[in-house]
Amino acid sequence: MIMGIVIIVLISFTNLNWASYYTARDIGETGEARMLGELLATAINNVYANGEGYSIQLGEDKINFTEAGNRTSTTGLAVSLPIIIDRDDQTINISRRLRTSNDSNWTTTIRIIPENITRKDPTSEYPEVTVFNNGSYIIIYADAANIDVTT
Amino acid sequence: MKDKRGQVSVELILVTGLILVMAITTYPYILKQQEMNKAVAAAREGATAGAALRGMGFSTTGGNEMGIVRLEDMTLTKTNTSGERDVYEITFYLSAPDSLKTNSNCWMTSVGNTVRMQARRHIYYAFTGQWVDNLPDGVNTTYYRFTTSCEWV
Repeated sequence: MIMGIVIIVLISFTNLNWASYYTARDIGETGEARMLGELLATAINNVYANGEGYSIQLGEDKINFTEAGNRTSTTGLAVSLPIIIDRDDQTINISRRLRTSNDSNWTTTIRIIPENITRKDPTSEYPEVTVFNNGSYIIIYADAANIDVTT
Repeated sequence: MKDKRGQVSVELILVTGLILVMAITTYPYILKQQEMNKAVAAAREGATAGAALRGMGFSTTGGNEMGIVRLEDMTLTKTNTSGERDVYEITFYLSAPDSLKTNSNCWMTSVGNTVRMQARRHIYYAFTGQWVDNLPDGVNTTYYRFTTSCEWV
């Protein structure tokens, strides 16, 4: 009987510990996903503010889409790719799936200043992810599977 | 000659018997209390997670304003009985910036709903080991039914 009580209490601890693990991981990764969006928004706003000819490159050390989109590894952020930049709303939308919410999609938006934004495939001159101001548009050189601009 | 081997004192038998009787009689109460503790701990964890997620602007209905959302306190009140279950309402006291307080009734806001839903999800997970998407306001366990509400502080 006493052993039974001890086993029940221990099992309940295990359940709570798993829940704590998933919760901590979810919140941490959600914060990282938000930071990823903030980083992109800062780059876009800076390029816009600095005028024609200015560019910023966010290399793989800053934005790693493989890890951002990874849903299984502990280093993954489970971000739903592509990251959507809404030109009309002037926002960057970051979505990710939460384990503690039955894998449902949770989205946050980060405001950006410029309206005239477009995306092009990366080139040797402008590798992924480069944000460039050509005087008329803020051009984001990124793969469409990673970043997409919508209206 | 008197055989003294393999004998225990009557005191030991009495004490062991007493412990056994106590364990048997208190077992249901221990189970019930353990269930309550587990649910409250899970609810607090879920509510904290919900507050953090909403603080970072995340929601299931699209992006929202950011702001510091905090779980300041929580209370547990027995409100009713449902069948053989005692119904307890868990009230979360939240602080948030005015931009997120879209209604004076906390439970009618997106923040309040997220916090309450996450709390219910965590209670459900604590007893079933499964995350579910939507839960009605009332999670049943063996002895209890837990409902949630929230208020601004």
